[in-house]
Amino acid sequence: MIIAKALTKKFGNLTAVDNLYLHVRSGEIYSFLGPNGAGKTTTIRMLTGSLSPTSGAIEIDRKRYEQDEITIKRGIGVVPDEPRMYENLKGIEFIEFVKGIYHLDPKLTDQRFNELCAAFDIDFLQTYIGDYSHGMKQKLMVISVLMRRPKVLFLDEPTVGLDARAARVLKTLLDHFRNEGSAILLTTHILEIAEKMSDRIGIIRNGKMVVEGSMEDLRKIGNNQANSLEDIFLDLTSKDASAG
Amino acid sequence: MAFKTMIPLDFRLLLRYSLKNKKRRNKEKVRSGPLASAFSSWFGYLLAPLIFVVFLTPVYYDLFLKLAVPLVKFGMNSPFLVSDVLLAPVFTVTGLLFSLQFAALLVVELFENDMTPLLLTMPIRRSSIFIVSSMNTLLMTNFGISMTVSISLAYSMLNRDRLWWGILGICLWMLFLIALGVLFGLLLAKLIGKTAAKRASQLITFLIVILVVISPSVVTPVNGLNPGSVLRSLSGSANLFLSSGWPHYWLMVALKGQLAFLILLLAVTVSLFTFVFVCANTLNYSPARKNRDRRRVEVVGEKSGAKNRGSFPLLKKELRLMFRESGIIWYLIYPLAFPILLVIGRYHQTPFVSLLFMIVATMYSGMVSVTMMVFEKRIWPVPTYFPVSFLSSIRLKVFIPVVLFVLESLILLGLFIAQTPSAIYDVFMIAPIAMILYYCSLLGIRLFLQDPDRDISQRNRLLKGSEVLRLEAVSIGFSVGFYGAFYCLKTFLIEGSFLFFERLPPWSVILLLAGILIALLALLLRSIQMERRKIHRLLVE
Repeated sequence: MIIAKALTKKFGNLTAVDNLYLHVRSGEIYSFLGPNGAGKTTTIRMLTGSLSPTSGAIEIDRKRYEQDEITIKRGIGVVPDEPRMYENLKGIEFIEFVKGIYHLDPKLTDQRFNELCAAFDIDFLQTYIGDYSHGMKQKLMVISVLMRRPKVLFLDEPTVGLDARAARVLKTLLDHFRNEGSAILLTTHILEIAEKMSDRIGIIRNGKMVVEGSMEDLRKIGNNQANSLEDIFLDLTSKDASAG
Repeated sequence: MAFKTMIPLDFRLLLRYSLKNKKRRNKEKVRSGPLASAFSSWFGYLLAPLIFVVFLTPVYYDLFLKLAVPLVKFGMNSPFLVSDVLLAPVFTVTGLLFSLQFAALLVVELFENDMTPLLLTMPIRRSSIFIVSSMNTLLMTNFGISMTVSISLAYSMLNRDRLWWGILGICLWMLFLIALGVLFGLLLAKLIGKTAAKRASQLITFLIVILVVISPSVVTPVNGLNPGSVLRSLSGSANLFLSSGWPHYWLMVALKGQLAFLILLLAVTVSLFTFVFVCANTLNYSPARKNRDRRRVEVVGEKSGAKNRGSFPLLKKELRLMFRESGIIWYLIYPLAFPILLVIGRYHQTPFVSLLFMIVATMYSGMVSVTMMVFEKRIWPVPTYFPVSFLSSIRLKVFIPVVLFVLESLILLGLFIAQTPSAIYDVFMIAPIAMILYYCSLLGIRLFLQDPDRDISQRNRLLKGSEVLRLEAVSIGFSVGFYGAFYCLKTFLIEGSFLFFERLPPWSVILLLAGILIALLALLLRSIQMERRKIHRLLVE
């Protein structure tokens, strides 16, 4: 569903993403990990069509941004690293905007929307987004994406700002989406989430993929069956720590 | 030094660093001096209202001087002047507006300042945070200060032999209004949220700006009236506003030399500040959220989807955001309201007002488009995730102001025709106006896109000085060119030859003026095409 081939992004002399290959299949949760500044968000921005790659190719559900940008965007869901929304709109107006812009079937969406509101304990939609806390914005952003049931999901640090209950609900829903065949790519700094939820994990450092595979594969690379993801991650990214 | 030690250290540090934080980004050299440098930058912020004060005070002084006729002369047993009768409600309205604007801005400052949560974790008194926030807020009440100070100053200048006494009175009056504003702010902070406070401050600022802008135009014809007629029209309010219960009454009497009322004003001000100081230490620095809203939402949430299936989602979104942005409201209302006022008051001739509208509307059309671009910039890169091309979003940001300003020009045209039937010919100017509006909007968008990393934190500095000048030059150039040539042609056709056209044969005058109009039209079309190409190129890049 999500394919990146030799993906490269340069900002002047800085190579933020360097010749990256990525393949996230249908019915799979792929955790994309890396230290701060490794290139995770830049990669997600390229995969979601908000940043043009310097070179390389991207395929989302067998379509390319060059030809089918709007069709791809209609089919994907993106929860960005910061829940930025129009602050002078009320929550309900933002939802209405999303429904309109994605041409959603009202009957289906309304039912899902109400279920999600109940699950995430959302009862603040009649107030302006500008008055929301970070967590409230994050909840609104998450339900505005999940109510569409997209086949491909990109989530950049989705649990940041969410309370424990909402984070649990999100994890359950992502599991459910995976079982229904969605391809999910998420980044997180909470390694426990990645370890428990992901089918495969990719670790990026300085824009390059350092290692990729299931938890079992990663343990083999770490040469220690008992290693936790945290140990493996710290081991593989330790050069950054010493350099930085 | 003794003065310095009187001010608590936490307050001094807070004031110093909050003002440093406010320094504009383009001023790289930041003086790191002590408290004095903080006060100097504070003064720097007050420079803008001071300029307004210098401009407005003589206008008011001239008016008050002409109306400085004792009421006794009109057979009324009162120590006041006719100007006092006029001024009493003015003092009340401007003072109240200033205090309310200050209060609403203070609530926004308290809840929107990213530093407040951090400061609350530090060993700083809540009252210090509150007072420093109040001082910072005062810098944002430009128009409120200008209006209040200039009116009080003009009034005190009537008693030249007690000028220093007058200045003392004004200072006390300002302190009283500030204390009142802080008190309102405290109450508002407990009652309303950040967005409601923003709306309130925007609305009040808008009212004050209207007062500041139109008052000189209104004052000019009032100047021509005789004090007797002014008194007759205001006699109803005299008893109400010249009663001794009003604080402005205390000020007016104090400025006439009665010390007791000055002391009364001082006492009330000190009491208010003390009350606020004590209450500030108990203030909960989190926006008020109302349970009432939450309950209501649960019901709406269940039904929301059914009725809110978004048709024209982009258009709806743009219109909602537009009409909730005070800057845009100003840009939309001013070009219409100001000419209407001039037309109704018959202060200026129709051609002047038409040209004024064209210049202001075309320039503001560009500014509206720029402000609408800021909506997207604020949440960037989220708009790029939406399944619509960014170009279609930009198209709306260009067309919406054009349509709205064209509607305004039609309203004005209706008014002109009602006043002068020959203004019907101005209907031919609608198309050129629409085209200039379109071009200015495109130009605004292009200028914004050229520097996407610009600082958008200050609403009045969305465009750089040179960019604003460019927009103004285009707006004035095309407006004057089109309207000038059109007006000459219209006058020539209706009234016959005039000025230097009398030396030319009639056919050549028509040819010349029509030629100018056609040339301008061609230039405008070409400029529009070029701007569109530049925008496309910028978006592709």
